[in-house]
Amino acid sequence: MKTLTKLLTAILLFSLCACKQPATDNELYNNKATVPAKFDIVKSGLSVLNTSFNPTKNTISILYGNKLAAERLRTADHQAKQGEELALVTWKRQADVHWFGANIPGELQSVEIVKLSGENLKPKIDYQKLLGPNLEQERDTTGQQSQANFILSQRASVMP
Amino acid sequence: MKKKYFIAVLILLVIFLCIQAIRPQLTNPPATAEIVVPDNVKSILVKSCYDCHSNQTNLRWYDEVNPAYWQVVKDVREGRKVLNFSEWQKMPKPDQQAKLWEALNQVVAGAMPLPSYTAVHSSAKLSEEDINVLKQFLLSKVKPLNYNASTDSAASAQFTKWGADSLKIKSVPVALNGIAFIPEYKNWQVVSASERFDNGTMRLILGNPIAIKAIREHKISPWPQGATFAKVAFAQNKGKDGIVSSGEFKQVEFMIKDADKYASTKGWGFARFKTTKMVPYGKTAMFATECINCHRPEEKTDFVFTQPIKLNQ
Repeated sequence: MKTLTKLLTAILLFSLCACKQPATDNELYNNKATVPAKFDIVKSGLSVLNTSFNPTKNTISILYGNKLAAERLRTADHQAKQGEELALVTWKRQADVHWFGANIPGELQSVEIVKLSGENLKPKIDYQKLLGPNLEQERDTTGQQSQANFILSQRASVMP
Repeated sequence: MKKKYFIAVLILLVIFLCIQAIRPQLTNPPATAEIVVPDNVKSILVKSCYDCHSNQTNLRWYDEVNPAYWQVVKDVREGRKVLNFSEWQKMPKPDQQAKLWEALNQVVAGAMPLPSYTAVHSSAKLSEEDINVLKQFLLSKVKPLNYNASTDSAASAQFTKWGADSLKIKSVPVALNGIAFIPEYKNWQVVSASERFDNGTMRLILGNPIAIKAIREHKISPWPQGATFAKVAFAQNKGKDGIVSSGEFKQVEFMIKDADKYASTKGWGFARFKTTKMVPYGKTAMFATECINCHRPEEKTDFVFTQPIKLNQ
């Protein structure tokens, strides 16, 4: 009888402990989607402007921008101005393990940074693309102009 | 000694017999608006959910014995209130779909059927194959995403109004539980983003400075007092180039951590403001129980679904 009581208590305690395992780092964070310190979004001072995804390329993106860019992207004004700064961060999509029915950012694919300098009417467009989870500088410069224009012609997500 | 033992057992037996007389009523009213789904889906629902989530509760003899019976009645009443497959068609169609996805996710997370129920009714457990049948059924209901002119023009119209500052609300709306709309949410930093193919929306999950600091310092288990999230939902708007951008703004939801103030909902205050008019969601102050019921399986991550994108320290 005593042995049985002890055994039952042990099972009960064990089952309580089993439920109370603390969450691991991988359970708490989306580690796969980490953006290296090389481009710290929060410290860059840029704010979120929109989100999008590309089913064909299986990617999900967030666009960030400084105050000047944010003001323009709230309107249909396509005349980019000097001093604007935008960053498009793109991740591979991954299924959300916490919700069947959702996709979330997976491995980091690229960070594209567009900066405008010079004069307002004809600003100089500086475009750079950092690739992969370690954000290595892309050497291939083909298509940069059109990609920069694509980023500059985005619309901000409506956040009243 | 033996006599005392015998008397004690006798008293317990009498008490056991007496409590059998206390029987709350549990009726099975007719199923007037039952869910209509393919047979293979229906049989899983009947086997695993119907005992608590329909008007066709099937009590076994051991469910009828008190004190178990009291618990059964409580669970069934609670279960029918939250989700009732016998009254299914009384719900608006979009709500029906959302409920099914939620129910499936409760199953996937192991929160449903209640472990205390499956411990006794082992036949109600869902197999991997059962879960797959349900998943495939729900996936078959997802509409393919295409360019849609009216979705696109609705998004443009709203965007134009927003740009012209004509979406400003005159006064700050307050949800029935006292949580006020937080206009600063749009200046917060990103926690994550998600594409919801279950309901055709996309979301930005933003965090206030307390939440962002906690992410950076790896102190999110539990989340600190004052950490607040805003989950902003947009309609999906597929462009002719195949890229899906955020269309119309749909709603913004808040989660505010305050262990004492919101103790009844696991330390989180919930609120949802719908449309650009920011109409507070909920018919009574108790609406947040609906929120926490859905978040309950996420206990391990302090009831938060979103895994934040890690920030470097």
